Amino acid sequence: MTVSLHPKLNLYAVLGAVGLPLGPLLGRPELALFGAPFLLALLLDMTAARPRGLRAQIDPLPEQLVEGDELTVTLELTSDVAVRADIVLVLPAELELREGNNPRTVALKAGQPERLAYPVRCVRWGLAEVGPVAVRAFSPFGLVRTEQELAVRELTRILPDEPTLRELVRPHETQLFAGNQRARAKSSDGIEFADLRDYQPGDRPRSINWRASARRGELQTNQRHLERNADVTILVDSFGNGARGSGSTFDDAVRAASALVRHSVAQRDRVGLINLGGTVRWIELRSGIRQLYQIVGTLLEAEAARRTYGEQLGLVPRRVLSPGALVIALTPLLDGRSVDILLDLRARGYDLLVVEVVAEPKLAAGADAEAEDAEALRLWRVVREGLRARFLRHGIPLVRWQPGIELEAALGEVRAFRRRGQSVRA
Amino acid sequence: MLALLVVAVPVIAETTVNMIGLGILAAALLAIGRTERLPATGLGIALVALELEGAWERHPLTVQIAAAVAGLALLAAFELSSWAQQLEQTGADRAAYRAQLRVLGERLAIVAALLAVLLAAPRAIGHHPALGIAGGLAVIALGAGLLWLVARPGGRT
Repeated sequence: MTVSLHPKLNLYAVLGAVGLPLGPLLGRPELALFGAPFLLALLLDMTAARPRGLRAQIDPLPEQLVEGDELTVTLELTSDVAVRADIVLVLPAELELREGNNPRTVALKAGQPERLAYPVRCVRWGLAEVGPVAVRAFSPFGLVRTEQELAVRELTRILPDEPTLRELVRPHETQLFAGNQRARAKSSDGIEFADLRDYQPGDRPRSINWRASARRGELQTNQRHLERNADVTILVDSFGNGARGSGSTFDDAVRAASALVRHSVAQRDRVGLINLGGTVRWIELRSGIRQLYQIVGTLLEAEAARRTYGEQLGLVPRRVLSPGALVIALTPLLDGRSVDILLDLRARGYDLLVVEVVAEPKLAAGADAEAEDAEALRLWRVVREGLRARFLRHGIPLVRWQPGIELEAALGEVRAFRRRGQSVRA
Repeated sequence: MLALLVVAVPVIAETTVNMIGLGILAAALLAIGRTERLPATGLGIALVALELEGAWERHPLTVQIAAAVAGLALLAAFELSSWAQQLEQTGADRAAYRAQLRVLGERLAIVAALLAVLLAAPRAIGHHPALGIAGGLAVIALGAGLLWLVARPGGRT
């Protein structure tokens, strides 16, 4: 707890200290009476009780929220003495106060809990930590202030508001097993029924379909879809981060990645994640809802990983990617390192698809800078086109996902690209 | 507004060119200084004291009462001014407004009561230096209190 004195205390002290002794000495009691109120105010404030037992508590927050959700954060404060205080509840950047004030002044009654409501809106995905609470309590005249920080915190996860995605790009290679719309030819053990075939030596007795066998007069065996269908690896490039609409390319890349992962998991694909940040972080290929939550959790922490800078960036390890996996890279293509990694992946034979999360260059304002800005923008666009052409030359489908365009539509371009047979097998 | 009233009343009581000049100067200094610029405010208050002396020089009891009331009014003006400044920085709800107003009113009433005692006691005792002794003791107590506040762990000005 820190005690501080208001600057007006100096004024009051001087008026009181000069007036009270000077009046009687000069035979002018009015001088003493003139300064007395200030001195009395000072004495009253210094002897006033100060809060020493302030307690704060934040009501538990929902475990998960989605961008755009609205909720009310409730803070409960209890003081051992009646006091006026300024309260600051530290809100993370992911939460925006909808109405009311923060900081706000409240009057706390001795021993009575005061509940303060903060209506907020989730404006960005991420791990949002609410708290701590800073309290500045005032003496009645406000001359003495006690400041303290109450270490209360509540954590919640704000999931990205995902773009709608009905269909994903089909991988060149699915697993050896039959699936749904991606089915190739074969099927194998799983749960969902796929087909019937003649019994072959070695088939498990439990897989024999007795009813079908009775009808056909020979043993028939059930075939089932396997749990997994294809391998999809989402690669999020957080090296470069450009402006895009009201947010950044990285914000949108995470939203898109979340949608792709959710879609792939629903398709019973095995999904993995590679996060190109200061260091390469990854989650190995797995399927199921647990994998979805693990990847989304990692994406939420990707913001912190983006700020760490590794000295030397290694290439993506082979064990993170299975042969034939479809790699969907979400990148603004603003950093040469990520470009090298993507080309390396293609050279290693992976089925790579690049979604360029297009950044909007911000140009300097001013009459003098306009001509130079226009030239710079033109040059920048030429360089970007060259970079895109480089990807296409390597047989890598590249689609531009610009603000205002649905991700679904952007991916549709890739499907068309593949239908035209423009893909190149490395 | 309250500070202006404090400046204006002596001028109304004794309207001369000197008093008007003093009043204008005092009002300007108080408006400039408020509670932040100590030299300007201090000078303004000294001019107010001069005004009071000039207005009721020949009536000792009146000047004493006027000085006490002026001091109390200036204290209230400073408090309201700093409260308004604080409200600019932080919002407050209706309950907090009421509570602060009540606390401020209570404290000003206590100061007024103590002032009344200070005004009446020397007359009842008939010994004027008592006020000086009380003032000296209060100043010593104030100094000791400030030293304690500054010296204690975590304390700072």
